[in-house]
Amino acid sequence: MNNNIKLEETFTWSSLKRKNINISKELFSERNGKQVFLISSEVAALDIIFSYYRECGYLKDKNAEIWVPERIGFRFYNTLQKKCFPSIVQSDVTKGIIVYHHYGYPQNMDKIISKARDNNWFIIEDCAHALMSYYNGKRVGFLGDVGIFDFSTFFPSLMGGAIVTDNNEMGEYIKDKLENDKTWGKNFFFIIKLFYEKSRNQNVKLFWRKWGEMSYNIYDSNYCLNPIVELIVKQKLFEKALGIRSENKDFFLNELSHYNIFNKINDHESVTPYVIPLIAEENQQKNILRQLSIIGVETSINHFDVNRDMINPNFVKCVCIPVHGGINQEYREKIVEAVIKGINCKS
Amino acid sequence: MIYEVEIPRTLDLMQSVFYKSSPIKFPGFFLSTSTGRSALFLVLNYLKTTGIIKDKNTTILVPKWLCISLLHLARKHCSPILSTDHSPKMVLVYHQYGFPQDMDEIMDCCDRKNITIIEDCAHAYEGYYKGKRLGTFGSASIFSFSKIFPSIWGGGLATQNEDLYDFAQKEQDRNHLGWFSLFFHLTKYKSDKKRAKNRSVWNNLRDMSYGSVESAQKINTLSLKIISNNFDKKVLDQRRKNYLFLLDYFKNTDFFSSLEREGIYPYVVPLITSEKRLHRISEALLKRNINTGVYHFDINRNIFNPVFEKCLWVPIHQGLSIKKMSKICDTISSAS
Repeated sequence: MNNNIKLEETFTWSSLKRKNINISKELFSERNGKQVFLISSEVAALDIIFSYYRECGYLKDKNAEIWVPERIGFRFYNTLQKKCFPSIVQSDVTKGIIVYHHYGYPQNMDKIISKARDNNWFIIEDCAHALMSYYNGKRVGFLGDVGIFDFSTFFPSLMGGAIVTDNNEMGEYIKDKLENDKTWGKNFFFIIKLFYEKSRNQNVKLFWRKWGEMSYNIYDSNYCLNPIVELIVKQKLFEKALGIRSENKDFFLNELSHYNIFNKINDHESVTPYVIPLIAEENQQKNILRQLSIIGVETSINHFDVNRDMINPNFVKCVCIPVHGGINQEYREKIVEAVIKGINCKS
Repeated sequence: MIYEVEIPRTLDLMQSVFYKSSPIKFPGFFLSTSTGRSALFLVLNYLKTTGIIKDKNTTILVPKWLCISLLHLARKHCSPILSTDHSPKMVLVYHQYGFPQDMDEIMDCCDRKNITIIEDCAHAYEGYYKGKRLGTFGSASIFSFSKIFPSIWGGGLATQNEDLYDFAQKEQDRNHLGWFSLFFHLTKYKSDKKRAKNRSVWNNLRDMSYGSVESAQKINTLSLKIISNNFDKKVLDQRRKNYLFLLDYFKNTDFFSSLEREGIYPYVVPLITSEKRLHRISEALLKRNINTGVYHFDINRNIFNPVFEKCLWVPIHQGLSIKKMSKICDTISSAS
């Protein structure tokens, strides 16, 4: 394999054929009366939801505070900022909470829901990394007032997302927004992302990256799902990409089970993760990172809340191990080998 | 239409090419930047190197109703908060519309809690608090000249700290992207032209360019020329004259009773009265092609304990003659 392995699967045109698959049914079969809406991106989902909260008067103005987790991405933050005031601290005027199931591993929802209900906050579950995760047997994203999902983190679709809610009034609002969305952005952004992904020359890539950064500022104002994105998601569902992801996860957990690097998490089996956070000594993490980079795995040291509790978080450093469907058997073994080398390396 | 800022005319812009530019003067060290946002980017980057910003979770207290693009930029480095219950590491003191915050109270609080002050002087290039120039109280201050002069672009960073100034100069060179700067300037120019065709497209493109505004770092030569020329023409004096005219015209009302006369060169003047009346005056002004709206003004002038009241913008920029100011005042008077 010549191409580098990224945390997400790379987009390809190959075998992109129309598949007779209903995305909503396939991905959200256990909807239990909740409404599902497919949408152009996760930030567009956020924009619609907060537009609704503003228009129905629940959020009075843009100073209405929403409690967000630490280390929230700035694109996510920027979208929120247009409608309310996202804050990493809670206050007397907090009106809602955004729960982020980092890498797909669920937060302590019992505790969070209880606190939110006590304070009369609405709960939005950010399931960008949790397309198919379960918390105490219940589907993540279905536990709060609204769940928002991102397809591009799980499939090489570049864009795409979904909203799940049981609020009928909000459902009508979203339907109306989708029906009246006549903006050109969904195609424009897709093209920019595609050019960025496909650029080989570093300078050209930088140019498109800049356009990508810029486009994020108005990314949220385009709601409908791009038809090519829809095709890719269907294709990947047909190929059982989520199953492959779970297989890859199980492979790494089994092969590396002796090294105590995944044991801070005890519910691996109920999660189809975005990546697996590998937690080890800091120098071991650096060595692992080096070894992975030698075999072409593009990853980095990030932070993971081992408490899984945004009320009382405990962020520790971790190396993200990719598990997406683009990783074949040969590469899985190479990754395991590199991780073991990194752990055993003395320097 | 009369706007809150003087709208640059294409002919003026063309003539500006022949103006002579000179460096902008400010006490201490001053670095010209393309916008106030790019100046904030440099300051926050510097605070990262000093360890004041440890990571993105380091908090900065910001005022309510702050411009979104500043918040977006701040979030790339730290976490803006509104709540004063938590002690922040930094505070962005915003001299709204050019009226100084209560710097005695703020300095006292920041000294006690070891909070770094950044002054947002976007509306207050020239302004004084108890005789001391605004922009000289904090560790750094940021400016936006397009709010004061018809320069479309242009900002600045002022500091007494030589280290910060040196760092900012190097960082400015490192981050500046020529083609992006051109794109940014073009979109801002086209969207600022109120009669531009397809304005929504230009507005979208401008909003897009704000997403990466830190890449347009250096001040545009044309803007610098316009700014220099406006300084030479002492246009701020006209702005002040208009401000005093407005205060005198309404001296028998309580519309502007909380505003000080001395040391102020405002961006706009907040008219404070009952909400019903504000909307009535606003409608009357709009009918006479005077652009305004109902906004919020911190009458307590203290970011640690703000009291926001609804207000109406009254334009007083240097492009307005006393005759035009009279027309504005008459309209307000008859509508109220």
